[in-house]
Amino acid sequence: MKDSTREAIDGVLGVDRLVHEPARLAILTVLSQAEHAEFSFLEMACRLSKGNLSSHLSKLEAGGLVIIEKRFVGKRPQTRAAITPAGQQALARYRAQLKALMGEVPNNADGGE
Amino acid sequence: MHVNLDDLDQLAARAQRYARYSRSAGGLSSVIGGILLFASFLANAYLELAAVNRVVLALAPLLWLLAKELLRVGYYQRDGRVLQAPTEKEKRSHRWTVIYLGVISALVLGMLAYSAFQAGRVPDAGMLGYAVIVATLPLIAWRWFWSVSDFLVGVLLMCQSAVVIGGGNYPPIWLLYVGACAAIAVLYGLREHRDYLALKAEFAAQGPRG
Repeated sequence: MKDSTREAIDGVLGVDRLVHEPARLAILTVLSQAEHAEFSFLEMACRLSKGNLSSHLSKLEAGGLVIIEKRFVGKRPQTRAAITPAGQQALARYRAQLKALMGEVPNNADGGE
Repeated sequence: MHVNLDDLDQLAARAQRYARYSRSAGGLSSVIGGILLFASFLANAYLELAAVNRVVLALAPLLWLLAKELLRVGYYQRDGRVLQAPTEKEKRSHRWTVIYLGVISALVLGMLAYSAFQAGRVPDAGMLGYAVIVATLPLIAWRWFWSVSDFLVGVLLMCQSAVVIGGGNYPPIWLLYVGACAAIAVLYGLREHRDYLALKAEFAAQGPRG
């Protein structure tokens, strides 16, 4: 096996699975652009159902990548989320890994080995 | 791998554009601000205003801020509030704006206090109103002035408000400068509003994920 192929496989195995899941990646990407965002916006921007969004946010919170704040505005409950510095780092690391992988994996059209 | 970095970049850009409407993009509120600004200077330059009308005219900044907040909550960010994370450059520029206005405000208040002390009398209601508006300017700038058009409209509206309540008026020659500032705010606002409509269309064009 070529070294570059081995590195590519190690790269794939080394990605952070908490971040890699597409819905969680979308949530982190949105949150990385703001100080905080309300649940309803995340639902709309990431195209997730309430249940899915809630479940993914809980996983990200358990992993220390986001902070969730629940409060009442008047009588209306409001949930908002913010990315933590660890979340920013995890997202940046994941993107760097992905970019490196894309550079290493040969394009099928070019006839990879 | 089902992840496309270009899609993520697009999502990030859309979230950032939406978040701008919490702080630095006023959209239609900049248009309203520009129109209010020009109208208030025009009225105070050419009309004889009674005390009640002066108070009404002095409320123009409040009306603008109210329009700003209502449009943000009820229109631009009705899909959920997203607070813009300012860049380092934006933070620096905002900080210096507030410091600059704070210093100017302190100087004006100092001069007012000094002249009242020299005259040996308590300032009248008009002068007190003037002082209150000047004193609140840096606080309002800290909370709301995140863009060039906010700065232009906000500072001029507040100055006009203070002068009106103090019983004075800006000479008509100011209308040229104020008109230019109002035009900048209106153009910025219309451009931001068009960008918002495009952004909404982009969000709407996204298919369901689940």
